[in-house]
Amino acid sequence: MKGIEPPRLAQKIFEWFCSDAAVEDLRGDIEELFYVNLGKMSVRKAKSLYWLHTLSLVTSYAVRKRKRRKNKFSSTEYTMDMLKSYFLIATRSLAKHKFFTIINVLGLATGMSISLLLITLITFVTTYDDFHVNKDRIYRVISKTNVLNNREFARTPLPLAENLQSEYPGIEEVIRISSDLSGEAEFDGKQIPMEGFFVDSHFLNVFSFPLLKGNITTALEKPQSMIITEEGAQRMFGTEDPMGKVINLKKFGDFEVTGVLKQLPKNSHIQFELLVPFQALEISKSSQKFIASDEKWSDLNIYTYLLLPKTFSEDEPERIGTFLDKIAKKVYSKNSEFVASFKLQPLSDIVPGNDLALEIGQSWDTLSFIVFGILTLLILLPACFNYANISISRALKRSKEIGLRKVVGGQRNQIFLQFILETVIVTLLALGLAYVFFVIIRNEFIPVVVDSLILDLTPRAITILYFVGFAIFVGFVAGAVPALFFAKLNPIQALKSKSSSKASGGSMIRKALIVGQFALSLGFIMAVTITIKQHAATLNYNFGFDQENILDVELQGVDPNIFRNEFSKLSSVQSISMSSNIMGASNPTRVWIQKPEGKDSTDVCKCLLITTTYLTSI
Amino acid sequence: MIGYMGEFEELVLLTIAVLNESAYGVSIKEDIEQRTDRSISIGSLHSTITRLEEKGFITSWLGDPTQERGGRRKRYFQLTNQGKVALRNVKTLRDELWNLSKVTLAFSA
Repeated sequence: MKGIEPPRLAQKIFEWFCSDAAVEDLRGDIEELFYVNLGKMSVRKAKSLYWLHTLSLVTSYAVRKRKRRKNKFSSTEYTMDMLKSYFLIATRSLAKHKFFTIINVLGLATGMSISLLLITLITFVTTYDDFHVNKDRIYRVISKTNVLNNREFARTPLPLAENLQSEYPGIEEVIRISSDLSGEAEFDGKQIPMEGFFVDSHFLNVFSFPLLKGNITTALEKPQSMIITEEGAQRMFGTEDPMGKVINLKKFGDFEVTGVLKQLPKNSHIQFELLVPFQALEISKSSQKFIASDEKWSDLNIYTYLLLPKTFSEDEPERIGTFLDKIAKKVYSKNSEFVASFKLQPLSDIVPGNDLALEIGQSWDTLSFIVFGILTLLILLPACFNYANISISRALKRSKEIGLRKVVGGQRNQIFLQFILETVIVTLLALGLAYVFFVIIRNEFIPVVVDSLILDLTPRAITILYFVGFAIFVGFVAGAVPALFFAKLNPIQALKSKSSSKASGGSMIRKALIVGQFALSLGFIMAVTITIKQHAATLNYNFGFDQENILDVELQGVDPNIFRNEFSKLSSVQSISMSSNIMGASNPTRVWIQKPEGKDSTDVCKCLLITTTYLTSI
Repeated sequence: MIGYMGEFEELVLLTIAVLNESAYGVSIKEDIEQRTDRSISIGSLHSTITRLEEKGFITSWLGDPTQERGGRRKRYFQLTNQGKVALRNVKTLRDELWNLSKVTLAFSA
């Protein structure tokens, strides 16, 4: 029977599973059985029996018990006392090597501060629209079209809302919102540009914006009534009571304030200062387009929100979806130029969500978060690598301690834990500093990303909790490599050698880390240099006109003639000229031009309408 | 339930007593299998042996390395006094019950 051995893999598994527990006799028993079996049956059968025996032993109480008492002089359990001792040793060592501690804390804090920004941003964005009592029942209808590369629009055609209301029985409320209100509001001779919406009168029953003054059911009942927000009222009336005041909205007439809303939460995806009944839009002469008719199916001009009943069945949204498909098929079959289909979007999917065209408010699309996340990682990782490198290169200082720990019975996983714990202490210290950095860069960062009015980066209790969790996580990431390295140290070498206790594996890892760290850093330096150069080139590029002393002012609905009259009175204004769009910055008007060669061929041109002095003033 | 002994435990204990000086894993397994004509798994056998050792019914020691086991040593088992007392207790109880139930059993047979 020479030459035939028990399956090697089974042996390895047994060995690995029992690590250093005393199972010599058990392994002997199954090997003996194997050779006995070889005499009785085929090699194959004996081998499979050996496997069976291995599995039977590995899962047995006998092995469990032996693993538990494998070493009388050492315990693999983690007691509170041990953790305390680790903590004490760690703080002593950190306090003793101040330079090392400072460098590491600084490095990690820099890396972590950006991550804190990301965490705060994510926690803020995930709370979007959480305050609505009906948040689980609110849906929005969005349109998928065949224009602009099949983009999805946040708006829908006007007649759709009516169709849903009258032909689909299971919906509690259909709310139409039109953003055509923005413009100047006038009160007592004072004109202030205001943002607002035309909404159906049950708007406040669906969305939980609390009223400070006024009645929730009657506030938007009359077509000439208006709800204003606290802040809007303050801008318009100062400290006066806004109730009953009449505001003039140029195109749409006079409106009486019948309600005041508490300041809107920053995490609402709908932001406004005024609310006016939708009826006002319908009766206003200037807005013929807002009377629903069959031709209006190609205009995406309003937002449609649905409130489903309290006890709606799970497949209700799906059924509404099929109903919407049916409408789309019916409406767009003959009209081939513009085709759209509709679908439901739950309130929670709006922010953060996909980037839709004509979004009602600020949008936070998921993609930009991923990009930001990757950038954050790129900054965080070098800091972690750096920590790992410095820790390992300091191994000499700690090797005696580790050697001694091992000699008196310290297990690998205990030493691993010790160094992880030490790293976590460093990262928690770094978190403190990172928070300071975070507070400083926060104010710089907000204006870069978005209109600061709608971003609230004040951390809340839960955010702080995430911070701590994040610091512990970074501790594990940064500490894993050095902790593994220390845990693997050979105790004899560690105690004896003065000059080099380098384990060969450790130096390989270190080399890899250093290369990675330098590659990332160099990449960053290059990226920043290129960005700076590009930025400078953009600023200094000669456009062929003088950019000095020219102001471009967006009128935001202000009457251009009044603006021109008022500003030409200022002595510092030399000349005023106007254009239909901001040059280079906004989407210009498109016009179709008939080509000279044939009557049927046309070309699209981007067109900027200007006043006569425009060219001379630049 | 101090001194409680399961059927398999009793079987293993008695087999160790039978094998005397040469009781170790494989020999116990083979002996039981031969006598009872049932196949027992090595894992549960060793689990039971471990439990018996915990209860103090048997002691063990390692023998010399042997060729047929890849040079590994055998662990031999031996009954302790406590083990003998436990076996005797079980036997006394059984005998008592046998004596009492003799009539009925004879009837059905």
